Amino acid sequence: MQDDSFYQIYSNAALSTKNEVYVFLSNVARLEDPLQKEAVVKQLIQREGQGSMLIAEHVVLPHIESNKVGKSQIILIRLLHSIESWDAETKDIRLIIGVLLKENEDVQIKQKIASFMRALADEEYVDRLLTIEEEADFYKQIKR
Amino acid sequence: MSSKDNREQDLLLFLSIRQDYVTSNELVDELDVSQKTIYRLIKKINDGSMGSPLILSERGRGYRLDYENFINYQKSNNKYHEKQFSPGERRKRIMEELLLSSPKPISIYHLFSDYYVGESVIFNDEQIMSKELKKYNLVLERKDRKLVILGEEAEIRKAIKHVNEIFNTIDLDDLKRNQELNFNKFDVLFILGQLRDMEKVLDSTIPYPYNVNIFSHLYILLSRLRKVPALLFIDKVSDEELENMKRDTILYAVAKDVVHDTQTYLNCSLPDIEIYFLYQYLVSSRMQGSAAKTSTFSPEVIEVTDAYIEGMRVYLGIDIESESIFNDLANHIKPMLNRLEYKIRTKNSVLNQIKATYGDVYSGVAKVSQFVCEKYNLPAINDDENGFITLYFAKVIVTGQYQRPIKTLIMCTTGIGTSELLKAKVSRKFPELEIVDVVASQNIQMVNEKYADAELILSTVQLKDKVPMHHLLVSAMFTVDDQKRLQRKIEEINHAG
Repeated sequence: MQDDSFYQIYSNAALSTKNEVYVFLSNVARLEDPLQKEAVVKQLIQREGQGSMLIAEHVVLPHIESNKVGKSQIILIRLLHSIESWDAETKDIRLIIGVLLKENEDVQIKQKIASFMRALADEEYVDRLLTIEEEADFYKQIKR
Repeated sequence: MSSKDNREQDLLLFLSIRQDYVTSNELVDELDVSQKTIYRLIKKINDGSMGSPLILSERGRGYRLDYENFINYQKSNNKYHEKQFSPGERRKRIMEELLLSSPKPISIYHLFSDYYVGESVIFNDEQIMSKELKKYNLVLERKDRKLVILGEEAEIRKAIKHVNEIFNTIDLDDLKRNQELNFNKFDVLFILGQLRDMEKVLDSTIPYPYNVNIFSHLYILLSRLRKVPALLFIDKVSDEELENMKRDTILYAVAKDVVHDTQTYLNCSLPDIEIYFLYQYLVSSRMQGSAAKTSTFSPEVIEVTDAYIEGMRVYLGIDIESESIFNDLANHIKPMLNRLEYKIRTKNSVLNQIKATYGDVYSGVAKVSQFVCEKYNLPAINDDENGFITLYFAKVIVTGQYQRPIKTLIMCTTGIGTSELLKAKVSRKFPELEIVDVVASQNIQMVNEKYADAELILSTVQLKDKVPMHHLLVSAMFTVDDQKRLQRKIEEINHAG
């Protein structure tokens, strides 16, 4: 695992259910209060209830804006084995892009997130993220 | 090789280089010809390609070459030299000969000797031709092993024009050079000269297909007079109609001049009714130029034109700026009403192309035409005419004169997650949407105040509160299904607008 102040990347993560992914996200997130992890998981589940977060084949984008989050981050998780059944409709997930946004975040950070989101609109870019083998290359791609 | 063949080759070459859809406007610029010529060229290429078309068209995108077909396609220029005629072609040729010679009988032996057919085939051909001629109120009579067609002169000429497809597809620019069409070269030059003179006197251009109509009319007149020098007319024209014509001093004078020149050219005398025949074509033609610019329209023309614009506005659900189209359309409607009155059918050689490319617009026009006919008590407006009118409205759509962009908000929970992603995808696929902002769903109250004029919210999350504008839930994947639903939504908004 490499730690970066804004992007965090975890490759070959051995997670096998949606719930494990959410717990994992809440564990690595920089929270205002470490005891609020459960609340963050709840918010993620709540968000998912409002609309699918699938953004491309094999890729989901769980994202929340929360007062529990102390520092905004984008957390990429490349799974060791794909999650066959994310939920009833969503199958075969291989990449998770978690976006945790601090409430009332600076415009600058928001713009940084927005520009990353726009990059995700490019299918080729998403494909590259899905297929990169080396962790270092992964960093290169997202920091472009 | 004629210039027309060159143009076809140029068009194919251009499409093969581009390897993608090309709009008709681009083709117009590239080949330096009119939109109608493009349609005709494409139709001709596709008609000649046997089976599946070489050039594919898709609404909103333009034209593209079908490579596989293109590679397999070997252009054979020899088809003109074939001497085999199908039964249909045989009947057409015989009917044309009979029509040109009417009311002179021609012996059956002479008519059929080239085709090596037996009595029963001849008898059968007679039946079929009789049926066809009935449409023009003409009769085919058999007497002493001779056949003759009898009826009104105006109908005979109409039948000649329709039987010989060449009159619907000729390209006047090409006529002088193209040897394969079998036109009498001197007649062609004489008539083209007359057309030029008409345009000069009228200080305007007679555009396609009206120039072709007048050309055909005069060419048929010359052909008739060669075969039957002293035509006996049984046609009757009411005094009132003749008076009307004489009141139209400009066109009447032109018609008179042309008939006068024709008499000199053929060294024979023509009855006055010829002036009236030609006048009917002139007054049914659309003129472009200063003569047209006076644009004084009769109340009927104005009403019919307005009825079309209003009808299509409702049908298409778009704002059509009346000024942008009214003059053009009225200049078309004016002669069209004359064509209806004089039963002049102008063949629309690109009708199928129009139907294929602007199917929706075309059906709308057909409906409005039906309504207009009933309301203003007009003769039925045929498909060819509907095709012409379709082009005026298609132009409005293609040039986007009507469409104001739809003010759209994109929404998700955070306002920068899936919504930002969606914005990038949507703006690429739907340029007709003006994305005014990306917002978070909890700020819905603010949205209502700040963006009161927004018309559509695209959201990746279910909206909890009611919003006063259109809204659509789409996935962040923006799947094909999402895109289709959005397309329908846009149409719904435009229709409601």
